[in-house]
Amino acid sequence: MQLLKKNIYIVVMVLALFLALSCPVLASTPTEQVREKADKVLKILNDPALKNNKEKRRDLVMNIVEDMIDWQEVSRRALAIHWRKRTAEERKEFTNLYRDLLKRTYSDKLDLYAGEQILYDSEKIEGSRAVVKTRMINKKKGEEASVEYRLIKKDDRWLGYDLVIEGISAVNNYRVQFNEIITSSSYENLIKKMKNREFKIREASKGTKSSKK
Amino acid sequence: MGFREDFGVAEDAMKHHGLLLLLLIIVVSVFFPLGTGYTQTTSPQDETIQSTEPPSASDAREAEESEEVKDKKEEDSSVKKEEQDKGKEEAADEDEKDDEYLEEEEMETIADPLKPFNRLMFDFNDKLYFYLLKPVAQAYEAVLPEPVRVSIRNFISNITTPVRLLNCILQGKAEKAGIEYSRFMVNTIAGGLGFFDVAKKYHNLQRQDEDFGQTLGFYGMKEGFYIVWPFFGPSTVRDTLGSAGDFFSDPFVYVNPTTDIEITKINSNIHSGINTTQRVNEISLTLGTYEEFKESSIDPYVSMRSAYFELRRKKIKE
Repeated sequence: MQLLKKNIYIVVMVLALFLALSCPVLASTPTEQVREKADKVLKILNDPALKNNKEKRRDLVMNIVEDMIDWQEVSRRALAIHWRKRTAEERKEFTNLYRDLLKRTYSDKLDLYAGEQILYDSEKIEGSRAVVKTRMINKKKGEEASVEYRLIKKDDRWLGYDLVIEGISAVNNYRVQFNEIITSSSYENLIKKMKNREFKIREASKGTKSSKK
Repeated sequence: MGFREDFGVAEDAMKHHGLLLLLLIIVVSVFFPLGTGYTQTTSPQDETIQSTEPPSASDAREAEESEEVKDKKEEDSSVKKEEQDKGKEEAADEDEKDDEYLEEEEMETIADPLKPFNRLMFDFNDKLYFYLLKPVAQAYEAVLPEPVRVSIRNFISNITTPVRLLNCILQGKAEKAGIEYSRFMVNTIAGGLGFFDVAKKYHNLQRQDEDFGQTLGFYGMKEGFYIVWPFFGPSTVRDTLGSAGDFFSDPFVYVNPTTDIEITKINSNIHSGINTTQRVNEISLTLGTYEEFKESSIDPYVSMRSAYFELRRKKIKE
C-alpha cells in the first residue's frame, strides 16, 4: 500500500516536472503568436488564386482569426458596467451577436487590402496581458498605420481582446457607443440595433457589390 | 522658394496676428475656464472618474477606492449609484477577475452639450460627402493617377511645414522641431520642391503632426465641449481656436502678401482653391474609408466623437 502511494507520488512528480518543462516550450511569445496568424492571413490575401473568390477568401481568413480572439473578453469590455447587470444567458447572447457583427464588419474590410506589409515594433507583457505594437505599411502610397494588438493569456495561449488602430481602440469605441445607446434608451434597444446592423451588412455583402469603392 | 522666406512669412504672420490670437485665447479661456460647467457625462461613472487616461492596474484599484469614498459624499445621485454598486457586488460574486481589469472600463468624459446641433451638422457633412465631395473626388481620381495624387499630398504637406514646426517650437519639443526642419530641407531640395517625401523614404524622418490645438492643450487649456462644424467636421472649443491659430501660420495664406486689396482678394481665392484641392486630393486617396467607418459603427455620430477625443488626447500626450 505504502509502496503504491510512493509510486503515485513519484509519477505525479515526474508528470509535474514534465509539464513544467514543456510549458515554456509550448507557450510562444505574444508577438510570435500574432505573427504566425498574421502571416497565414497575409498568405491568403496575397494568393492570386483567391483574388477573385472574395467569399472564400473571407471565410478562410475568418477561420484563422476567429480562434485567436477571446470573444467573451471582448464583449465584457465593450459592455463594461452594463455587463455586470446582465444574466449569464444575456451575456452569452450578446457575445454571440457581437462576435457575428464584428466578423461581418471586419471581413468586409479585407477587400480594402492592397499589398500592405506588417512590421513588428515592440512587445510588452504585464502579467497575463500583452501588447504587440505593429505597423501596416503601404509602400505605394507611402502611408503607414500603427496597429496595436492587445492580448490576454488563457491556458498558455495569447488571445486578442482589442485592436488599436492609429491610436483608436476598437473596444473603447464600441463601449462608448453601447453606453450611449443603453443609457439613452435600453439594453434591449441596443440588441435590436445590433441585429439590424448585422442583417444589413449580411444583405449588402450578399447582393452584388454595390457602388462601394 | 527658400525655407527662410517661408518661415519669415510665418513669423511675420505671428507678429501681426499674435495680439489678436492672444485676445482670442483670453476671451475663450475666460468663457470656458475648465470646461467643468459644460461637462455632460456619458455614464454615471463619469461623475467620479475624471481621468482621461487609463491608469495602470494598481491605479485602477485606487481609483475605485476613491470612487467609493466620493460615492458616499455625492448623495444627490445616490439612486443611480446604488444600482451600480449592486451590479458591482453581483459581478464580484460571479467572477472576481472582473475587478482586475477595471482600468480600461472607464467611460471617457466627453462634453457634448450641443448634441442636437452636432448631430444635424454630422448629417450635413455626411450628405456633403456622399453627394458632393465623393463624386468630385472620384472624377479627380479617374483623371490623375495615384502617384501624382500622392505627390500633390506631399507637396502640400511640405509647404505647410511652418504650421507644424512652429507648434513643435511653441511646445519646446526640440527633437520634433529638428525632424520637421530636416524634413523640409531634405524634401524641398532632394524631393523636388516637396513632391517626393524622400525624408521619410530614405531617412526615416516621420512627419510630426503638431498643431496649435495641441499646443494649447500642452499648456493646460481644457478641450471644452465637442463641436461639429459644417464643412470642417469634428472639433472642440480648443481645437477650433487651434485651427484659427494654424490658419495664420499657414504659408498659403501669405502667398505674395501685399497691401493691394485686389491682389489680396485673388490670394484668398488661391488659398481656398488650394484648400479645396487638398481636401479632394485627400479624399481621392482614402475613398472607401469613411464608408467602412460608417458601416462598422452602430451609431456613427457617437463613434466618430469618441474616436476624435481619443485621438486628440493621445496626440497631446505625445
